[in-house]
Amino acid sequence: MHIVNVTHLKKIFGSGAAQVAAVNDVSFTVDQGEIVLIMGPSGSGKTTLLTLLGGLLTATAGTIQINSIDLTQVKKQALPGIRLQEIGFVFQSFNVLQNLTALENVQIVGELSGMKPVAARQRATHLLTKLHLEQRLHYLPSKLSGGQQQRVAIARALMNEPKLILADEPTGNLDSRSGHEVMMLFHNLAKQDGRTVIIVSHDERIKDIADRVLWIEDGQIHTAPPEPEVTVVDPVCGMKVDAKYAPFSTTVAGIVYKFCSEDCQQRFTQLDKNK
Amino acid sequence: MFGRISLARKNLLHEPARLLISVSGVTFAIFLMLVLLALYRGWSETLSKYVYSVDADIWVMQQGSIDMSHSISLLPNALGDQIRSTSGVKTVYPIIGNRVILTLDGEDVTTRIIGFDTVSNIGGPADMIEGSAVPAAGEIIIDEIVHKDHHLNIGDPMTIQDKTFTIVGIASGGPLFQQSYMTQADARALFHLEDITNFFVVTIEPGNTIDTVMSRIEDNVSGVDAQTTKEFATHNEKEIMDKFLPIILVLVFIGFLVGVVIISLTIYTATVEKAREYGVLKAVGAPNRYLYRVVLTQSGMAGAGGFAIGVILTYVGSDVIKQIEPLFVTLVKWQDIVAVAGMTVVMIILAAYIPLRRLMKIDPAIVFKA
Ligand SMILES: Nc1ncnc2c1ncn2[C@@H]1O[C@H](COP(=O)(O)OP(=O)(O)O)[C@@H](O)[C@H]1O
Ligand SMILES: [Mg+2]
Repeated sequence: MHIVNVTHLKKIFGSGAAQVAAVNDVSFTVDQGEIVLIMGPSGSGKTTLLTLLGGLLTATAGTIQINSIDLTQVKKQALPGIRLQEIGFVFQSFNVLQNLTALENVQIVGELSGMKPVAARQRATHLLTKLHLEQRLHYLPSKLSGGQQQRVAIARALMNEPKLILADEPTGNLDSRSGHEVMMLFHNLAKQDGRTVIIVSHDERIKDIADRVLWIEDGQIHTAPPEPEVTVVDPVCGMKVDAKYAPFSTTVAGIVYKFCSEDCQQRFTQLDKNK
Repeated sequence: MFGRISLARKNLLHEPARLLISVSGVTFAIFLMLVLLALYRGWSETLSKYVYSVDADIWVMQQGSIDMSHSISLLPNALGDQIRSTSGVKTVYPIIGNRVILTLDGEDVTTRIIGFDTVSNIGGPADMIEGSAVPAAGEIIIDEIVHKDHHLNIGDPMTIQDKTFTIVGIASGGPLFQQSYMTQADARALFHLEDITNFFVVTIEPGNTIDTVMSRIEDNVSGVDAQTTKEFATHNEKEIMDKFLPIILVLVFIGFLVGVVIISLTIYTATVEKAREYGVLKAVGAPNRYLYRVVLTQSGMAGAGGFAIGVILTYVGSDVIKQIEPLFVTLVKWQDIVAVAGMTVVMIILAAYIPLRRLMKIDPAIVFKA
């Protein structure tokens, strides 16, 4: 069964000479329990595609069916409800609410969908315990590591039992161990719980858990990268990145280093300066 | 413990400095509004207190006369008998009440002198600070402000238009109401009003209504107007306070605006700072009405907190102010507190408007920006 069914999807930003087709006639389907990794160079339209799938952006043309609901046909006011019930979001910068504890960050999403506070609290506790955060329930995000915050965000995404999880660079701000943990979590979500997972990432390691890779370039899907891939290791987080399409790079003493994210690049230059 | 999570409360409490600024701003605004209204009420009350204190159902005055300060009422003494013979009238007493300008320490002081019937004691001072409430011939009861401002005490002489009186008492008054009292004979001699009276105060026989007796008096006795005690008291307040009312209302409105601006600014800043988090909430599916409620609750908490402290401060503060400066006679009325509570609600809603517009503009897609 298709959980995601996208046909001739198009998103054009701007007009006239400044017009950019960020997503340009894209069609694909994703089945239940499938993990799809979307890769491509910086500026190729990955985030735009994910934003469209999440019902956060209006398409210029085409259709987007999520769990048989066509997002391009429903009224704008209906979209928040669909996001709340059908889609779980995980972001690169975690985006947990700073003044709420781990537990409250998860609980609040249950309350938004009409759960009683006690029930929401129980379910949030259960989810966080499954993600090994039972010792951190009452911690504010500022007292949690990046990996822990991302697990809180994943628990939040699961609170309303969505069929679809959308993740944008979920390992981008994490050290390699936490990144790996998060990857395995996504794997379990798909393979044990039957959820559909779409991940946008530069992290080559995610290929190991992905059923399929969609390669995007200039807003269009290519089934495979145009050239045989060469992977190098990000010297900061240890993530495998594509040598050609890695989004960030720095040259020090004639050697080119590639990074998964701007964050890693900055940490690297910082380390270099301190030497 | 198991209630719904109040994001508004958590966000407010995590920024105690901002909460303090908004609550104290609203407190100031509420205090300003309530104290001004209390001053207005307090001054009004001092203006009518005397009239209410006179044991009368009806005040009779020269036709066209309205109150004691702005119009002169001159009635022939003989009218007293005509009023007395009107059916339903029980008692009639004359009152002399005229303004004089005294020169005290080289300064002109306007005061009203009341000459009342010291036998029936109808028309004497409403409230005494000290001394005798019933003057004998050649004696005078002066007003508390004249006493304070000009250091005149019991036993001192006081000269009015080359007649010298001995001060025997000090009556309470107010900043807008200074009244001295003497025997009616002394007052008649002072103002050369042997055959003329300023007001007649009337009580009615049981079994009659005030209204019917009033119209009978107006029909029987030509050239007079009659007012109930309440009407006459109200006129004595209004004729003076109506001049202050616009100023008071403008200041109250300024207080209101201060409240709106302070809440609005602090909540707006909080909204801008938390724009990303609001974006996250929108992205995960929070409906707009939930987010509006968060902002309105923040505005409401600042408003309600400021209102509560402002009300307490008004009660405490008006006592303190009065001790420092007796001119500030205040009267806090529950009607004013209810009115200011209503204005606080409007304040809260208006203050939330700009932050709400900012909130509406937040694009949930910002969550994908690193
Ligand atoms: N809100 C926007 N307004 C105008 N252009 C945009 C907007 N968002 C993205 N774009 C453009 O669309 C293209 C794809 O962007 P994006 O989806 O962010 O790429 P990626 O996530 O693959 O790096 C880029 O050229 C970008 O400049
Ligand atoms: Mg992107």
